[in-house]
Amino acid sequence: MPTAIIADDERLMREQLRARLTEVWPDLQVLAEAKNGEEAVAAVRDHRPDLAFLDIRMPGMTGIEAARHIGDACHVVFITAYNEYAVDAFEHGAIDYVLKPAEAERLAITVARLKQRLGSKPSDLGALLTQLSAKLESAGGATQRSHLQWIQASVGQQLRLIPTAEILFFTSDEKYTRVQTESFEALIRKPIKELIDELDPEQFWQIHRGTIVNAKAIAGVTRDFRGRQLVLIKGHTEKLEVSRNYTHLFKQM
Amino acid sequence: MTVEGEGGAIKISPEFTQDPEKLALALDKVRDQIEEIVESQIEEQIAREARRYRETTGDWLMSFVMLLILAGIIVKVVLGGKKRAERRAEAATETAAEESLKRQLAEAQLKTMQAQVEPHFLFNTLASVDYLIETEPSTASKMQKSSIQYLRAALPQMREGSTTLGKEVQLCRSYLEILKFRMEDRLQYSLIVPHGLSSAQFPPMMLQSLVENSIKHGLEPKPEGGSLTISADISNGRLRVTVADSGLGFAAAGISGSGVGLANVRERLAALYGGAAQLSIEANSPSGTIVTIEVPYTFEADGRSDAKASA
Repeated sequence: MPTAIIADDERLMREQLRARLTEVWPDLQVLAEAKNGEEAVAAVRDHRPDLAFLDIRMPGMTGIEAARHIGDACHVVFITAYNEYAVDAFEHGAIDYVLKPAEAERLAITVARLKQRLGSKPSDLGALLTQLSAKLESAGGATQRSHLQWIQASVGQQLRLIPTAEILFFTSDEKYTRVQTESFEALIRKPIKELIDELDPEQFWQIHRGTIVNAKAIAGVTRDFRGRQLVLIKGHTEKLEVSRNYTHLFKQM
Repeated sequence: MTVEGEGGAIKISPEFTQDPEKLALALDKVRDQIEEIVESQIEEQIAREARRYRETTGDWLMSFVMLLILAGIIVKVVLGGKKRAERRAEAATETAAEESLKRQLAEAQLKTMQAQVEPHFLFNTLASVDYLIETEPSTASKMQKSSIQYLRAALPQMREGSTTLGKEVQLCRSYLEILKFRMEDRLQYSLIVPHGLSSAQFPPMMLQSLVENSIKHGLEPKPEGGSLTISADISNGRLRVTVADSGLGFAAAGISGSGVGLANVRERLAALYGGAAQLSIEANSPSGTIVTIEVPYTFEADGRSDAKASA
């Protein structure tokens, strides 16, 4: 008798799939249910099923990551309600999938195909999964903006997110980087060298090996008695030295 | 009429004291006469003063005044050009600032529009309702009602300007009700918003963005789930609305750096209120995130309809 596990973080969805599968594939024995990726991997290891139905969006380990861990231990079928990211792989039939809510007619087609596949060894989906997880990540929405919008820093006892637009400048301070806003300063561990690559170059200028300044916060440039250029900051008394490599930023037009 | 004014003394004939109407007329007349006398006296006095002033001051004053006027004209001609240029520059800066503000607002509105109803949320919800119809019809009906309420509130939120906190909280309540059906014991939520603040003005879809953010990045990805609390209070005449969750927290959730949802909220606040609004994000203890929006406290005069909506 063919066996399977079902993984979805929502109970209703697991129950529905189980009910439909019983309808269109009475022989199939569901050995276990899992609520997240980790549990799915563990269930496959413990129960050694022929099939694993995996929801893509699950807490902790996603269905795609779980599929990677499962490897060729069993055939993988993805479950998805709406997939903005994986359409291609699914439509080309490279990966089996079930659309939520599971409908009997549609599921019957998938099941027919799965029955054929059961005889063969599970194929290696490695490359496809890498592709899928890249799509999933970019569709996840967290990485649409390439530049840093927030700096995560400790202010006193509190961990806070400081919007980069409110930062006047960064200076390196031995092991730490000092983050200065109009009203407070904070220390972070990320060095100037890394910050400059992640900040928006239009808005943040490096003026010294150890200094990045918000262009919008620059009030003017002056020189000290030794002829060094100093940047004056709006709303702050500190003057920031411009090293020779960066003086071109402040040349007269 | 026998009203007489003689040497400042005014006599009223006794016949008037018997007829109040006639008396009133007579009194009016008297008042007019007194006013006339006083005015002419004042005018005379002013004329006298002016004469004395002209006599004591010499011609030098006249020439000094002329000189002053001349100097004034010269200064005005010289400075006029500069002032005009400055005014033009100022006007140009103002227009530019206004334009950029308008653009920001339009962009922010567009982003809100795009963030309206997440398809993933919608499809998953519909899939759940579908199953509940067969298994637990009464729960399905409840969930369906929450969905309708949510969509009704979320979709016409395109209206510009502000709505009330009561309506926004109601929208979040429907959203959380739906998620509660789906996430079950992985989600606990509470709304601690004093009823008196229902009519406070609040920008549309902002609270919803914070709640969605908490769910999406904080609670949904956390295997054991957690709790979410919406609260509101007035502090120093400002309305403070807080969404606190016990989710993964911004460090683990990876929203630090380039979190788009929160950046949008921040931009919208800046476009709507300038410096008068604030968005602060802190780590919650032992885990999770606390996001607070602070805006000036103003309320809708007609608070009744809102009270009804949030009842």
